[in-house]
Amino acid sequence: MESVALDPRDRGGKVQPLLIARSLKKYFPMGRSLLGKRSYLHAVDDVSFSIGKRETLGVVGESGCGKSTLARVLLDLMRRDAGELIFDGEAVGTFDGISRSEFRKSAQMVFQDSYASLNPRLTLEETLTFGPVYHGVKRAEAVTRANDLLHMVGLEPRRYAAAYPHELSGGQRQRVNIARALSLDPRLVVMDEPVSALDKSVEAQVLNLLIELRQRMSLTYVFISHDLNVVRFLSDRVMVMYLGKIVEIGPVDAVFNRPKHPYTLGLLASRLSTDPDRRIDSAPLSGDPPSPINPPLGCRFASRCAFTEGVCHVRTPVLTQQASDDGHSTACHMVDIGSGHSKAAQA
Amino acid sequence: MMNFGPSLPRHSEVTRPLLSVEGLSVAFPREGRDIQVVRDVSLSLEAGKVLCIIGESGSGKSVTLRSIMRLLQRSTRVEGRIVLDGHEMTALPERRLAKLRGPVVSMVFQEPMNAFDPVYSVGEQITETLRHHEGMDSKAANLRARELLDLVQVPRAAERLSAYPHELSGGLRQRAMIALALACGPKLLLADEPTTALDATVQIQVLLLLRRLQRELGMAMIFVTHDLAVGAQIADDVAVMYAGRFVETGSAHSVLRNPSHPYTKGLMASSVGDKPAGAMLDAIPGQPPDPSILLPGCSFAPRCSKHVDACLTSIPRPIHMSSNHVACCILQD
Ligand SMILES: Nc1ncnc2c1ncn2[C@@H]1O[C@H](COP(=O)(O)OP(=O)(O)OP(=O)(O)O)[C@@H](O)[C@H]1O
Ligand SMILES: Nc1ncnc2c1ncn2[C@@H]1O[C@H](COP(=O)(O)OP(=O)(O)OP(=O)(O)O)[C@@H](O)[C@H]1O
Ligand code: SF4
Ligand SMILES: [Mg+2]
Ligand SMILES: [Mg+2]
Repeated sequence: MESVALDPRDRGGKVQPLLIARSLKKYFPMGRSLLGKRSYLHAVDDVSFSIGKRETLGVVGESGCGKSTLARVLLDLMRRDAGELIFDGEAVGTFDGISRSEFRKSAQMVFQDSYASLNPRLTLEETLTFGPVYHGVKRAEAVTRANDLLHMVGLEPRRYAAAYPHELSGGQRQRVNIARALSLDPRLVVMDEPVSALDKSVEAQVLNLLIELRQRMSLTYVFISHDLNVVRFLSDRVMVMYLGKIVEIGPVDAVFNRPKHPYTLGLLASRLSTDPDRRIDSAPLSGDPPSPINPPLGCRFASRCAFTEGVCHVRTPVLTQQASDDGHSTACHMVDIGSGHSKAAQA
Repeated sequence: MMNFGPSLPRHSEVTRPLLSVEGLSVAFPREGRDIQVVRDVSLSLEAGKVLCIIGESGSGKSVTLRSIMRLLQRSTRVEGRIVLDGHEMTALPERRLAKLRGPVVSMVFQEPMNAFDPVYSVGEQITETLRHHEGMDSKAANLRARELLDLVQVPRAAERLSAYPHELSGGLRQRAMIALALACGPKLLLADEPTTALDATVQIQVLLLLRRLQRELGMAMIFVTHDLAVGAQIADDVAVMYAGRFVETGSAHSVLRNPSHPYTKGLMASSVGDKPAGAMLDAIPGQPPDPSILLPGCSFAPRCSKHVDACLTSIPRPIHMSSNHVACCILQD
């Protein structure tokens, strides 16, 4: 990471993470059982991590593991059931911290569905000036900035400022979504699968744009994707989720080259190569993830893990630092010395 | 239409292919004009082989599959010849066609929820298919349905037969969908992106399952995907589709290791793969063409960094790169 002291908005300095998430929880209430007991879907369950300034944190995990819910909770777009958010040293939404509206200006989101997230009745210029004007920027100033943004994301304002979303291709719409997220000059941008709905031949253009903008605007990204190659390519650190919990987090190199959690291992080994001589001949993991509704006690991966032992069914493994001291942590009894797992001693 | 596009190389000239498609073109009428979405597609597939059609959204993959199954609405204009297991598919009356769907050809869809009726259990839908097509009594059909779920590795198959589609996870639902498609032992399975909605760890399970079943049952398969790596994992042959045409065809090995068409090359070069972090990618400029605008030359020309004037005016003819590899590009001519 380069010097971050130049940003006038910086409060906590270099070592202060831009965002700290502490014990975030989001449970969705489901039906009641015959005995009248309410069941809950544990979408995000006690998730803690931090993101450094100008860092990109990749988030991976299977469908339904809680990535989008985490994104919404992180940006305060959805109320959390528990936990706190600390933005550059200030607690979000507390009276001595940063106000929620101030936070929402500094932290923006790019949604997966580029079409549904644009208002079909607004021109691109109107789309890009809406937020700033709402937040008190003068119209003329907002228009100038909208045109700059269009130019920056590769849509010539002369041709596109007056265009409507339906006149654009998927890749162009995603550019507009990115421009809109940047219209309030945020410090943090959370991207929820920003390229997965795009054509393969257009994906690289948008990835290049994201890299360029990150550099140019000193942005911090949370980058959610199911494409492990893309996450490795774009991120400094990566977080692996399984059924609402972090199972492994650390620098990209450490997690990709020295994965410790059996789920991370399985996920990485499931990556397909474009070389027909490097086919996979047996599935790295069997079974599907279990239901997130009232998940069982213990490790949530136990039903699919090849190393499950008694302790895995009774105690929930917690994130434990690796000896390497590079922030690489894993939630598995095998890496937790003294957990009672037979493989733990060797870890 | 006599100008046939690239035919997939034949593995042996003596055996008659299970499926042969010649000069398939499909157009949908819109506002008094025809929108061409499949253009002059030819292929030939032998029994027991897997062909993967790789292309991006809107390139015409699903329409190609649906023309083979004859699932397109009546107003669609279909040209060309489709011969499946000796039957002229384009000429067959609906009544005889219905008899082929199941025992000769069946289809697996991207989103299994669409193929299952939400109000009947998975077991009811499989046994109904067996009773209808195979004339089994309900006891035999029940037994067979359970065998089929076992075959596609659905754990606790007996219990799962009474489950409704929405009660199964995505991976189990896709397996049940495959079981339904296999119920009548088809000679050809058409699989339309059956793993796209699945997670990586479940996707590989289903790909391996399909490949194993296909081998064991000696069934041929056409598998549609937008992912080159999926093609590399399961195909014998691949056809790369762009804007309604097959632009490059051949053995998976030859096409994916030595791509010759600028579009295939571009896809390979622009993909992240194992490129060093943060480097700029060699992106293909522009975007796929709007199918309502018919270009006179190569559809890829406006995006191709190597195009010459002739690319814009004449459709490139298929050029043999080797005995089992064809690319439609003027630069190879
Ligand atoms: N508003 C909601 N009400 C009830 N359940 C919800 C709601 N939103 C999400 N869920 C459930 O919470 C879990 C996590 O969903 P989420 O969308 O966060 O997953 P995800 O990791 O983003 O998945 P994907 O990769 O498919 O986008 C899922 O089981 C989902 O069905
Ligand atoms: N019933 C229809 N009527 C009119 N146009 C259609 C119809 N079905 C498909 N099309 C058009 O034909 C073109 C090819 O569609 P097709 O569904 O074959 O694409 P595809 O390659 O399967 O794409 P995807 O990867 O998104 O599934 C698209 O432009 C589509 O809009
Ligand atoms: S805690 Fe136990 S079940 Fe969970 S991943 Fe580790 S070994 Fe496997
Ligand atoms: Mg999501
Ligand atoms: Mg399709």
